[in-house]
Amino acid sequence: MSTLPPGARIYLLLRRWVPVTVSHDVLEPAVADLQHEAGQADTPAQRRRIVVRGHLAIARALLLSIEPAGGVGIAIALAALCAMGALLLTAARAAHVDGRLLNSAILAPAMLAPFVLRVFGKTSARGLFAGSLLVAALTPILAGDVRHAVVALIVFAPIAAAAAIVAAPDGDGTVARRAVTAVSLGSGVATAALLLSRWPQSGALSADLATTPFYLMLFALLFAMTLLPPLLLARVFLARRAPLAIAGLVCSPAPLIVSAYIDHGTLAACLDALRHTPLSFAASSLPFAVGAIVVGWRLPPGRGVCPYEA
Amino acid sequence: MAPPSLPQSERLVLELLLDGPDFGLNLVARSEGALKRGTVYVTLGRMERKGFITSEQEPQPAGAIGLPRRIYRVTPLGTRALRAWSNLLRALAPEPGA
Repeated sequence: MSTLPPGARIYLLLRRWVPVTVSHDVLEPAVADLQHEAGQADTPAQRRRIVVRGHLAIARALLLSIEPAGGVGIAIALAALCAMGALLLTAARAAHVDGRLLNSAILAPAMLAPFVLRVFGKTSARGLFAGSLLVAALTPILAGDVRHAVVALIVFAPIAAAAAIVAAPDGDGTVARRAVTAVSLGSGVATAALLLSRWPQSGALSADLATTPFYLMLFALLFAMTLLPPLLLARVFLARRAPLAIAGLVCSPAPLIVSAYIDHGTLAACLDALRHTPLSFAASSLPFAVGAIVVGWRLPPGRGVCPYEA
Repeated sequence: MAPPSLPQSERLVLELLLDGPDFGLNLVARSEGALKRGTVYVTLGRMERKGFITSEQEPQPAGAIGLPRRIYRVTPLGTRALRAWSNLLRALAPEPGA
């Protein structure tokens, strides 16, 4: 039989994790009032009701006191992204859809992560990279697939690095310095994950293995480059970031349409293929769309020349 | 800079505390449903940071189990803020017959 008063356990557990101000302003007075009220109860049933109601009030108060830049807020946002990805992944597997949809279920939340972290006040490129990579690795683990987590680390590390470069704020070092940091981190994590995945089979270290992260990085950069020409054109007319980000979104299906055109030979056959697999097309577009919005947002805005001006 | 404001909940807390220092849960009970127990501590914390109220822990008798309760009281700044806000609302109210 425990002799601890009601709320004591939750207080002892949470006071280590919540910020000092939240503990002082919210947790301590809420628990103290709960303990006092429970002590005044006439019957055990009334006491139980008070304890349940008090715990619900504490939970609500703690949720309301989450600050945007706080660590708890960031953790909740990343957990929500992972949960969203895991849900997508599980649903995609259950529907036996093609591999592109499965990839998008992992890539989309991971590419959203730098954006979300910026909203929550995280500003260092390394922090954005780590958060993005964490989401990419945890999403398949949450969906019950540890093997895919390693694959995600290999494939996604360079992409996360590229996303961190474009999403990092201007004050966070020079672009060249950020790029070097991101490439080093991305390639390093991808190589480590690749070695780890081959370790049980004692796979020999080969030139292919050593250069894989470099090629993945190159691929990620080329992928981003395909979106630059239309965005640079849009920049001539658009002076603000939000319309540029929207232009990126509008342009994002272009690489997929082009690749479908290359696969199918004619424009009619390409459009026909897209019409017959709209879900797959939409899912494949997700990472492109997110990437395009980020690139559009980060592109230095132009002078905003109005096309109708004389 | 955003103009200073005094939300309804903060106004109510100040009005209740003008009657004398009180605990968070008692403020909820006295507000007749206007304050909720899930939000009152967040409001009180915000008001304390603004300097409208102060708080201190209730002295506990020896051997008492549990955390000491926190008692809140209004500061002179809080009283002035409430008075200024009431004056502002009165000044902005439409004149009869206008």
